[in-house]
Amino acid sequence: MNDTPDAPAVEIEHLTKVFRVPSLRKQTVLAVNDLSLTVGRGEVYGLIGPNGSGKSTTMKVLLGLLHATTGKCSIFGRDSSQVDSRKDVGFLPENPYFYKHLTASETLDFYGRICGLTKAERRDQSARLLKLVDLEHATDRRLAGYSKGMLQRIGLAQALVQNPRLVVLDEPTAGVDPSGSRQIRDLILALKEQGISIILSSHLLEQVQEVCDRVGIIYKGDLVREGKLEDLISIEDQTEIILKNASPALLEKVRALAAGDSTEVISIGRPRTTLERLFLEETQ
Amino acid sequence: MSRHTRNLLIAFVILISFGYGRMYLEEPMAKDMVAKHYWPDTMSMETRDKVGQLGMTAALGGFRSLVASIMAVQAFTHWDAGRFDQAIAQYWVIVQLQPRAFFNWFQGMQYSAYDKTHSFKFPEDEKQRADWVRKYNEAVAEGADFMLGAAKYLPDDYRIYGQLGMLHAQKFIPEDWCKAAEYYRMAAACPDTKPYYHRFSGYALAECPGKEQEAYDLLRATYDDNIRFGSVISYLNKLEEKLNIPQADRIPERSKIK
Amino acid sequence: MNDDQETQAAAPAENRTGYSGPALATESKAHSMFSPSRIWALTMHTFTQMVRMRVFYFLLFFSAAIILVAFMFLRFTPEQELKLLKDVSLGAMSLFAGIFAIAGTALLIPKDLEDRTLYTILCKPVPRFEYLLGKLLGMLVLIFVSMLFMDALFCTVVGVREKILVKETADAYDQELAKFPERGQNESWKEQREEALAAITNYGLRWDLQAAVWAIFLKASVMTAVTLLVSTFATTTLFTIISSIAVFIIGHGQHLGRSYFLSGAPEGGFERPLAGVIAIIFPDFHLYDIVDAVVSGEAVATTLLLQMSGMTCLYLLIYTAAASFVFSNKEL
Repeated sequence: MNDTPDAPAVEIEHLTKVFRVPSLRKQTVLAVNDLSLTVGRGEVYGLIGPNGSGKSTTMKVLLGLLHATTGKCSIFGRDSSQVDSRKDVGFLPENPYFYKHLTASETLDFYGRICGLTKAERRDQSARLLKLVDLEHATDRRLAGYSKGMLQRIGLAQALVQNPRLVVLDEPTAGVDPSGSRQIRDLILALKEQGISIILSSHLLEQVQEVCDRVGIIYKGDLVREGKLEDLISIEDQTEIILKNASPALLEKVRALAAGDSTEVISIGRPRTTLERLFLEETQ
Repeated sequence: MSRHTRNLLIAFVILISFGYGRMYLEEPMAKDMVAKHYWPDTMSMETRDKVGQLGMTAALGGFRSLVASIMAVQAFTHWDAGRFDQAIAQYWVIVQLQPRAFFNWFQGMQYSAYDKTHSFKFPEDEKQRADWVRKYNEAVAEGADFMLGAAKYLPDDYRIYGQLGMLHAQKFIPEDWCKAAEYYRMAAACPDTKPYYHRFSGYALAECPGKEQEAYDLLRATYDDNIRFGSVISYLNKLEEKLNIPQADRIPERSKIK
Repeated sequence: MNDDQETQAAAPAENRTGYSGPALATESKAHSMFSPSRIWALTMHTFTQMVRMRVFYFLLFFSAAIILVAFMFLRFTPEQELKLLKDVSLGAMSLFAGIFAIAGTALLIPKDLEDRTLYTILCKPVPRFEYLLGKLLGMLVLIFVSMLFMDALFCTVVGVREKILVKETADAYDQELAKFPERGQNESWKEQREEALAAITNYGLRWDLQAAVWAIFLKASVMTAVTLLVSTFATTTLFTIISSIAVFIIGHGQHLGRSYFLSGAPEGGFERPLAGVIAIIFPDFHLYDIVDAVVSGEAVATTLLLQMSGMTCLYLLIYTAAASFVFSNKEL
């Protein structure tokens, strides 16, 4: 084992991936360009960017599904193109379908088997993970009858079957309704609490904002910005005050105080609930 | 060169080396299988037959036997409807598909020499009789051709010569007892043959002009071997008369069959 | 779909137990590069997948076909009836085994890729050759199990039909004897009776039939390996299926090319090199064609079966090795 105790969960160094387009003229597409990033142990890292920006390609190289044209990736210090590096990784692909002919418990049993779990371990893990992703009621149903949110959750359970130290989630909430999306978010937070490193890709900023410690913005194959979330999203020269049951007189006083302190009031009004929160309140 | 291209090349080299090496394993195996009669021996065939056999093997893959059976059912339908020529034509193909299956040849022979000949109505008018005999004999001869074809693939099968003997003894008009005797003799000489072919060749020889002594010797030896069926006795009685065998040497039995 | 469950699932996260995995044996174990249990898991998974795709419905067609043929009462000779029954049964077995081998195998990898299940498997610590081996063995188990079923039914039907034919024939002779009692003294009549009965048994249920069934299975195994190999570099399922069928057909004529190439025919021209190329590239499927001989009553030597099985192992080994090389660095 060449797992170094202080190695970061993920280290991507100068990764470039060029795809050849099958055609007579040797056309190529640059999917990822000299990308470097590090995900620390226990950190939740969000890779954000529009569709086709290179997020999935980066993840696939990290998981050994694609080969880097140049550069290298390592997982806990081990070269990620080697099979044994995947012992510590759980992956949830974008829009997974899984084997429709299997039930949820059979699915987890199968993935447990290929991870080398014993029978007792598979049984325990299956029960524990199905409870975790809230699919206990659908244990013996074939995945063919699952909704998108349920599939995403069984996908997450599958990714966790061998208790990986790193979980890679590609668009974990794509196509899932807000309640399902929120459930997945809660699961990610639970994993984070356990010290699991997570790298997730998304094009939904709001979601990334809620769970990630650090964020990288990828655009046309380039990592254009990277940093701590609060650093990236806070607007340095603005402060938000939220008051409850404030009288018009009080608001007028606040306005006057601000004016006296050479401060500009940008807006005063009722805070808007997010669309997601509204949806949840209405459906519960 | 990308890693994938390199691996494709390695795979290609593996396949080519294996392909070259296994030729020397498979060729002796194939020769052995021909020697053990799993497949027809194409080497000893005439070019036309050889091409036919090889072509069919390639074209039909592992389904020769099935195709033969389906054609046999079609032939049966033709036979059932009295379309003997079509049934027989089908069988000429079937025997090419499965040349080592005796009963394909046998069935073709039956359709031709027996069923087709039976379908010819015997003419009342004597003038048409010569024509009837010609057609009749042609059909029997085609039946004999099936058996002669079978002999190319199954040279040691007594049934083939037995059937040929029977055709010459019973079906051709007029009978050719001399040929029948010869075929029965060949049948009797085959491995695993039936003992009656030896006697049959004696009966046929008895009817073949000039072969009476030979017939007598053969049947007398049979008799002395304690095989004393009615026919043996009746033929011996006749031959003893014909050959003027001294009374003392004649067999004591007298056949009721005249 | 499942609205109530979805709502239920939206219960507050606070009530849920957190993620706290127990220590697993695999966490402490070093990863092994070759694991029979992993391969077996993939094998059985492939088998289950095919079974749940309802492939066994094919077997109902088989059953219906041979039962129909067995009892359709053609006025054939007993030998012909039995031959027809065996031809149809063994032909159908070849056909089903071939279809399973080509169509089933051609679908496996593209389907996994399309459903992205391939990603979830290969992202676990599963070497790619194990994945391929699992797929291959899964198909072989499927073909084996279906052939076992077909073989059992086939033997039962042939056995029953044989018994009926023997009885019918014996009865016919007995009736003749009742009418003409003097025939009981006629040796050649008695011999004919024995011969007729022996002919039926000779065409009836014999051990050699199992050799034919085994040869069909071996041929289908090689076909499975060929198809798997093609599917590792093919870009569409249709291409895989068409190429595999082409290999299947040319493979039955491969021996012609080989004999010609090895015969030492005069050099010059392109025929001999071409024959050599065909012999090298394509497998020899003709080697497995013993159905004809078996149906015609030819006995099969054990050594031949051993040789055949040995060649098959060699084919499987080499083709799977080649497939792993192609697949190991394929970009997915």
